[in-house]
Amino acid sequence: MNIRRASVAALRCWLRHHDLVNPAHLGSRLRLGFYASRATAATATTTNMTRILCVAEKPSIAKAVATHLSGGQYQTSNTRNTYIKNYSFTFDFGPPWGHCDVTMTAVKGHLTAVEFPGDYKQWEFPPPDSLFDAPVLTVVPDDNKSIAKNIEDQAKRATALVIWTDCDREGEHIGSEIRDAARKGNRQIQVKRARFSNVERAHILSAARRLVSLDEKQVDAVAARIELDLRIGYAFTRFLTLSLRPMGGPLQGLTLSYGSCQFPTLGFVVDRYFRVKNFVPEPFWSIKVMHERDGIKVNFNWARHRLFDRMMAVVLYERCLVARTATVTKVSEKPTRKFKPLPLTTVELQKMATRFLRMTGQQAMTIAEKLYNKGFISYPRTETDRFDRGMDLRALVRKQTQDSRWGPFAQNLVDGAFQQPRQGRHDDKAHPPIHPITYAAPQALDDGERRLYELVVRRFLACCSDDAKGVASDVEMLYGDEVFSAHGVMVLERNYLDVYPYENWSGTAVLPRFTVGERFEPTEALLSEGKTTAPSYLTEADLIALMDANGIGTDATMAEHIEKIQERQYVRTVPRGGGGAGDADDGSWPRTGWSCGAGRPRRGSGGGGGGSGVREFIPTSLGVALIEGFDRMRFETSLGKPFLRKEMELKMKAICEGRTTKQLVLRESIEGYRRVFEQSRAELNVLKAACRQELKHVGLVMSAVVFGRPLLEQNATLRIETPRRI
Amino acid sequence: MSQPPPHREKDAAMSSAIARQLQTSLSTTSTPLPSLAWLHSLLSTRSQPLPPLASLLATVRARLLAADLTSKNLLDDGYAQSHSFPPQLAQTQATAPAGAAGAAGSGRGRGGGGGAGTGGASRETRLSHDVIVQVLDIQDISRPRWEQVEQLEALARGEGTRGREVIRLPVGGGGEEDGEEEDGGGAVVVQDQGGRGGRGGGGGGGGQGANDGPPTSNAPAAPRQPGPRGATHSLLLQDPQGQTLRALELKPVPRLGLGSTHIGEKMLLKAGTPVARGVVLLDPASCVVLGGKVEAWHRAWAEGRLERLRRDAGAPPSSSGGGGMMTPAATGG
Repeated sequence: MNIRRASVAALRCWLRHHDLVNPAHLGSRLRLGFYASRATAATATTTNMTRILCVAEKPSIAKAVATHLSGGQYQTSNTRNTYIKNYSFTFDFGPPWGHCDVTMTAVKGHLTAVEFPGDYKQWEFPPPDSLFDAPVLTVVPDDNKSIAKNIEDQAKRATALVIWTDCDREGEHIGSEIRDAARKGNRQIQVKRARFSNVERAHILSAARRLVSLDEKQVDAVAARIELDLRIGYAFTRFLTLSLRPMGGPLQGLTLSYGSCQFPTLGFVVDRYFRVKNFVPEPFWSIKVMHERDGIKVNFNWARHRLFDRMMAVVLYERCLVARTATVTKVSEKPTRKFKPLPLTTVELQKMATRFLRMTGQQAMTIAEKLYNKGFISYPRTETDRFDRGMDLRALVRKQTQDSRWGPFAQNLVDGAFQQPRQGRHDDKAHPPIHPITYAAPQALDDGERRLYELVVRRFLACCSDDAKGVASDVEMLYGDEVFSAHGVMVLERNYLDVYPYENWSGTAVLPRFTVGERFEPTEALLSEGKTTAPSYLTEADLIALMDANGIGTDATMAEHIEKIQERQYVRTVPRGGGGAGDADDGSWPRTGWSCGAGRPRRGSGGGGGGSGVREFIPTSLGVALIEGFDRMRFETSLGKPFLRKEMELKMKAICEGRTTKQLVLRESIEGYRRVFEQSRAELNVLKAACRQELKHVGLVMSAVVFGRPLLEQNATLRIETPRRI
Repeated sequence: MSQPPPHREKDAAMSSAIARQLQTSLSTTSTPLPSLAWLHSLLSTRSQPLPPLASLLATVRARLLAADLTSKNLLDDGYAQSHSFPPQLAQTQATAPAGAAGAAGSGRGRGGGGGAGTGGASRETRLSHDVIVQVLDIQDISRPRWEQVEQLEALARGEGTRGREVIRLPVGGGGEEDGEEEDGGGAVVVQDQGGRGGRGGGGGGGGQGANDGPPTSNAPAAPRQPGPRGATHSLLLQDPQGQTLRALELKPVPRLGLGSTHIGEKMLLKAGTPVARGVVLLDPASCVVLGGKVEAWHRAWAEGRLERLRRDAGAPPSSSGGGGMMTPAATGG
């Protein structure tokens, strides 16, 4: 479980139960309950050693770190929260603290949540746009109260607090929440932070002796994002729901949630859906030349590849035939290589898992987190695709030699075949690429963990191996005035491919000998006709790639957004090639929810191969209606497009780099979204029309207002926005 | 060369002398040769004193290149006649496509027989003299029309793509719909590599289909699909007599392209230019691009391009043309 996002889950939960208006919640409740019983692990302190409180982001990390720091010698005591234990031991932090009494405990992700005061809990009043400047309260949700209390109590007797949250922006913010809880108990407490990216022993020990300060800029960036998400999400969700529900029908009972990442994500799905649906296949013509020599049939590719004008293709083809003989103009044979993969990032991990392991991105992340918590792999949320030169990668390879599947390969690397991995261009400065930390025997893992671990290990070993090598031969010839070429590869050394079944170097073909200047009469020259095929619907890997390229969400949250738009019934997935809902225009709506009239993909032979188990994303009518509605409002930037969100992401980066401040960003962004909100309200009927249209498409009769326009078929052009106005 | 502003007759005589002088200078260039009458009328609109000859020449040239070659009295009669397509050529074109159909699929057999070289007039001939033409249409026939439609529509929405990234572009900058290869305006449109090309398995060439993941250079010398750079264009050309012929870019002509070629632009086809089945085959050696543009034509062409592409692709026409959006009339603003 990704407990880190607990606050989001809490909001989600709240959203779901919005109907039970819950006025009574207040910050003051925090203090009430727990003073009476402070009977936590109060081990008697007789020595005068400095007391240090350590807090990790989750219990498993607390335990792992405690184990390493104490050398296994720690005492465990329960707290009021069943999941949280306190571990006590001694540890020498070095100067200035020296030998210390340490208590290690944990939180479960975010400790606090933000929300609006009770008088904003009604959806109808005050109006949704008041949420843009309503006060925002930071509260400790009920199920975290005992955790906060534990920290507060432990802090009372401690000189310093050492924060062991994950080293990323979110972790930094959680660190600030822990600090605030600790200061409630002890205003004088010193606050330090440990930087680490995996829970391997030596790494943890060295992190404990190189403590740093909490990075307030990162804390601010996340705080800004949290506040913006709250305001924008609530304002638009309430606005959408209140505006569209009265339209009745299937909209009646729905909560139409808006999220600044959700919508652009949905936008991608809708966009591709229309590209598939509106696609017009076109014929093309191509000249294919084959020449047989030494028993080898060599296929030559036309440099023009293909032409979409038959007449012109015929003219060129005829001229080839008239020329009769072809002249070899270029022959080359040179070593070639297929590059080994780059070190593994989160986005890549998710893409590979969805493609090769039949997991969703979300599942992959959950499993990766488990593997990380158990200490088998490094921190799975990273953008870095280059290993630090100083890392002892050989040692990590050596740990894999005992495996029966890739052990011999790893052994070979250890014995001298090791190569430094390629250096990608991304470095988040916090974590190395995802790699195995220790060896995990297959019996130690469940099925999902085993498969994901295998992927991580194989990728890592591939990175530490050598590129695959071969010889590429190229022949170019002139046939009439047309240029043709043939390409052949002979694989000489497979190298990394031997351990990396996710890739292959096929298309191996050996060319017979040709010499420059030589003339020959091709065995066969054909004018062939083909047809373009529609792109396919987005797979999760495609969607992740799009989100990544457009700055929607962080690598850690992408999978969640994808899950969210399914949960909200804005999109659903179908097995590739399953043809979506076929022609669901049959009014099957009441049973299948917002099923969508997915015009089946016109896929020819060229479509994506295989595809067993790969799922494709298709928007529901609801999803289409929302995106269409916003697109047609012709804002400068539609909410269904990635631009606004990308801006927000850039602003967060700017805060982290000290180029702007939280206050400034909040003010700007809230103003920006408020403007969009006002425009949306002014053009609400556009959105309503889009919904009506989709409803009709689904087969429902909405007699109230008939929109005089043929349905979906024309959508491609309807989506054109007129030039922007200011 | 500043003239005093004296008698009219003297003016007329002067200007006809200058007109002749201009004509003579132009006859040595590849610029189409204007008629004396046209030069006259041009000069008569100029305020006296006339500028130096060099700048007059430049004006004449610019006017010529911006004019419709077929308009009466524009070109010197003799020049127009000697720089037009042979009439029989222009007629062959219409019949060509149907006849050529059989060639497809019949292997190389057909080429073996004969009729090569100078065989039928329809097969292939070469221009025996220079021909001056203006461009009436240009198309990129190496890309699907639908792909171009999608691109134009995205552009109209103010979007482009950079790899997988959707980027915002200034909308309707110069009213020029056609942004491809246009270097002005900062709107750079790169072909979407994430789309069709990558996914379909490398177009059947390298055949390492599974690997469309990272934008790393993981494809070992995979055959590249022709992007806008290596495009093949077809054109519709018109000579001074009004005869039109289609043309094909046999070898890349650097100045030809969507976004760089204007409608009404003038070209000189040198003697020896091949014409196959009534299609003029262009290569940089025989085709001299002179430049120019007929403003109104170009505008109309650019405005109608999206609709033409849609039609030619076989798509239903966009229902409401330009302005008619889904928005109810009520929401003005």
